[in-house]
Amino acid sequence: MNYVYFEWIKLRSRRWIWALAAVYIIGLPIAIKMITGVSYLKKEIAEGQFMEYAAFGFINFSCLHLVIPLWIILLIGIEFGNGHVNQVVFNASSKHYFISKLVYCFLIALTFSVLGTITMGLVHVTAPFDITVPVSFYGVFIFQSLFTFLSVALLFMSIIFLTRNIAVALVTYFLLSFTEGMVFMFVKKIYSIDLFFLPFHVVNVLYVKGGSTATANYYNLFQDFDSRVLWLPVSIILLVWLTYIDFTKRELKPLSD
Amino acid sequence: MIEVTSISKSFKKNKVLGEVNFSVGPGEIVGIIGPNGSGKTTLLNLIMGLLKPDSGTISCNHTLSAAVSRKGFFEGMTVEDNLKVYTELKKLHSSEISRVVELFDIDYTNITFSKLSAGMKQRVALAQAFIGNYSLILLDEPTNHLDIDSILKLRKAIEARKKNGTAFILTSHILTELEKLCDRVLFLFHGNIVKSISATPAGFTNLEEEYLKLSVK
Repeated sequence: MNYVYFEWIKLRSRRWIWALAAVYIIGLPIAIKMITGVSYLKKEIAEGQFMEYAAFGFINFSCLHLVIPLWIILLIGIEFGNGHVNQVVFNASSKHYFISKLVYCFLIALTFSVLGTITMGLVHVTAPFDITVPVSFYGVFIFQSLFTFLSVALLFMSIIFLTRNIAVALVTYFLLSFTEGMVFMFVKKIYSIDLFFLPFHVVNVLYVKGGSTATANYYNLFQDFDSRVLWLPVSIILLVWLTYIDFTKRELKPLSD
Repeated sequence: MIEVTSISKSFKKNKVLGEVNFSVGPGEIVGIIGPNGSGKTTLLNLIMGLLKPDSGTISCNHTLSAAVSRKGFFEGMTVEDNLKVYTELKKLHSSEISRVVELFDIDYTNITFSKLSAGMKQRVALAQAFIGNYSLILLDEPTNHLDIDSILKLRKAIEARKKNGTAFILTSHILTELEKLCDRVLFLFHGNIVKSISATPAGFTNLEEEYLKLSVK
């Protein structure tokens, strides 16, 4: 079975997905271009940080503002709701369905990385001053955003697989991210312990120093390696594996009219 | 051959299936009849592997296909695209679509699934089950929402596949439908198969009478 083709035929055949994609494809680059431009004009960022600011904005916005989370929770959640998951499990296997969703997460991560790279190009070309951006910047950006988006996508894939309901998954996401932020701050202030390995926080370590999502903390992971990021593959692989075990062990909702 | 041995299933404290035993041979059409909530759909979901039995085993050397609900389709997709998803899933050539579309007279392949009536959706669900050459097909209330023409087409399709050795397990509330199609009818009451009646060369004679007797008990 060609997993990529299987996911692609489901995506391409629904008009509302094209409409949603158009909003993101047009809206995201324009939003980042405008935010960067306005911030520069307001003298909030220096010329030397212009591209880094845009890169931070794109990755941060995509991860946390219902861009990638929405594409994962909504699209996979629909399949749990309409019984498609049951049909795939019956006609193929639960392993098949799980792998196809891993492929879907990769496709979403890749798409947004490419869109991000195009956005960087747009910000570069239309910058309000002359700016030289080395090609390596784009290379680093596409890898950095791909890793970040894939990690976020897998995190949200696990949430929707475990909750099996769009509304519950969205509430879980908001509660988790809010609670995690509170716990992180509380423990750091009271006990001076850095809980960098918490799921949402460790994803941030891929593009911001210490996982603190402030523009000034944006950094290039390939030049300024933070060893704490090594926790990420371990925790994501563990989470995905636990999700897979739960998916294969727990019964699906019976199919009936 | 599929062999269901001592299958039981509960949802929390609610026992849906007691201890169910039956088998279905090649080319055999077995009907399951019972009142609402008797466990018919649960039994089919267990055979499909979507539910796990509390005890008992299901051994099956058939290749399985099923239409147990009008779910599993994407509302925003056309009928043709929905069926394409299934041909891809079953690793079959998309030419299978035209065959099943013709079989169930589906002349609305370009219409979005959400715009279809319940009967039209039911025909798509049946068409999906008939994609491919499976040796056992499970049909849950297959005549629900169908008009007379569609029921006749379904009956023809089942009979044609039976001649090729395909076995069927179908549930229905309509006794006459089971009488016309089945080689054997199982009466499922309160999660137990309480009676099994095989058709004689002249067909079934007393299904309704038997059903009434059992439902009074």
